[in-house]
Amino acid sequence: MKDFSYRRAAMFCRLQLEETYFNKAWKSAAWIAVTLVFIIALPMLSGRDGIREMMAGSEDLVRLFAATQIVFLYFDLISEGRAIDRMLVPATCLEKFVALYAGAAFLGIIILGTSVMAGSLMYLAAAHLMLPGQTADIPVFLFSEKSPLWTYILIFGLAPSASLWAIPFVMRKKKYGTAAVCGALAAYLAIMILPGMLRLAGVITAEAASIATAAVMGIFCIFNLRWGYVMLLRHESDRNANE
Amino acid sequence: MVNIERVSYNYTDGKAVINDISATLDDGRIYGLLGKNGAGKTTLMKLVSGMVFPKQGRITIDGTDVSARNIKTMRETFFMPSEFKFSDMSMEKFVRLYSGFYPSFSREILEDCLQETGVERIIRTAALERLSLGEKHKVMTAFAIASGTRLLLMDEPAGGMDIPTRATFRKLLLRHLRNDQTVVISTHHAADFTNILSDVIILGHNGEMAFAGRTEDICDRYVFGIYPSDSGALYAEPCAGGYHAVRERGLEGPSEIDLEILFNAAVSGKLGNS
Repeated sequence: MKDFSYRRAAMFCRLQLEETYFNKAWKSAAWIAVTLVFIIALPMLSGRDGIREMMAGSEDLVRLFAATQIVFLYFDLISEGRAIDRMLVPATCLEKFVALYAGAAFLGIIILGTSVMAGSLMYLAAAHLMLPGQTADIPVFLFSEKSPLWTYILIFGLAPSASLWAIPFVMRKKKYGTAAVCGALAAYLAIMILPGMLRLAGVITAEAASIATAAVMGIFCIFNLRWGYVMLLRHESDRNANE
Repeated sequence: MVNIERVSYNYTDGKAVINDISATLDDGRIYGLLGKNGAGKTTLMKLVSGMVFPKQGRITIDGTDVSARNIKTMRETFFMPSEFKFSDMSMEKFVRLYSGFYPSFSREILEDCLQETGVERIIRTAALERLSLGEKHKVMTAFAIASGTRLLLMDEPAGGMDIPTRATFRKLLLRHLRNDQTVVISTHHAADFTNILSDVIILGHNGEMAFAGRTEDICDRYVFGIYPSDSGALYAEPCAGGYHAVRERGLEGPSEIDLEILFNAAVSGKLGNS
């Protein structure tokens, strides 16, 4: 029997999403509505100066919401007490790991899509109300202004994948030792910002810093995937150890 | 076939929950797993299901180590916990989401079990989350039997079930179990299952096995009844008519197994490990 089956991974992904997010149509709609209200209303109520700043705030929140879904799915995966424990559902660890990414990507697309549509409409209305007749030069569509590619890689690739090993790593700090956990996380962050620091110190050029940052991000993406999977396997083997 | 080879398990406080236990669970048999509160029944079930891994020893199912969490083994193992939560979903959706993971799942068996236990009509309208404790156990038991896995581990399945439902549960198990399936039932309501158990495993103090034996061997070797005195008894408890006792059978005729007396005798160390 195959150790990895796309069908089983898809079934597990559907199981997690349907049970957690899309169990009932009205609950799903309420979840999306609350998310949208939060994303749009919070920057509007935060007292930022102009539409542009509010939109930038909303875009940051969209990125944050989209990127953190994998964390919620991870906690759902390791939670206990269900009628059929997630870890006992007959799918391999790799299938469950892949299902986490697929589910997070699906949720990210939904959050991005609905936020861009609803947010743009809200900001269009807000712009007309706040600045009647002067909306021609205001970019009222969310994400219409380009952000550097690395920010997307960082937010949608590196950060979610890092959370899948960093969270269980921190949860096991008793086992690994607080110093080791803090040291490893500090080292990880230090390596990440090292090219930028070297550039600021004038040791390397801006171009060299960009190449080095890209290389570090690429390596860390692979590292994150590998260690995220290893930590999930370890969760399987030493769960309940603290009972 | 499940092989439990010198398995020990302890949590982080170091106290042994399961201590050097060995057993073989054969196909086509129904095992009653008995023990006092905290004796390690649930932990043993979690170990066999692959939910936790032994600290020492190993457990294999058809030669495959359970700790490897091989997909073939997982698909053929179903663990029904004693306490669980359902999500706020319908039975139909629950079945649609979970049944695909179990290759031998049978909708006909599920429907038969739901009908026999009398929850079929209730679950048509009510979300699983809103069912009573007994109804939840009926639903879960029905799903477990319908899963058709070769190894079925049920932790306190009778919890919350009323007396008629316990009888129905026994009937359903016997009706739907195949010859290649093995069932382990952990229970405090030993008497409810006496008639269907083919084997008894009793966990004693300190996570050790106090007794294990086939019911036919128990019947051959021991005799249970009420006697005027406790002389010659391996274990006896005073009761209204004299002494409720277990004795070596010798030349006496066979008797029905009194699981309560067998259990008390085993945990007090009066019986040898069969």
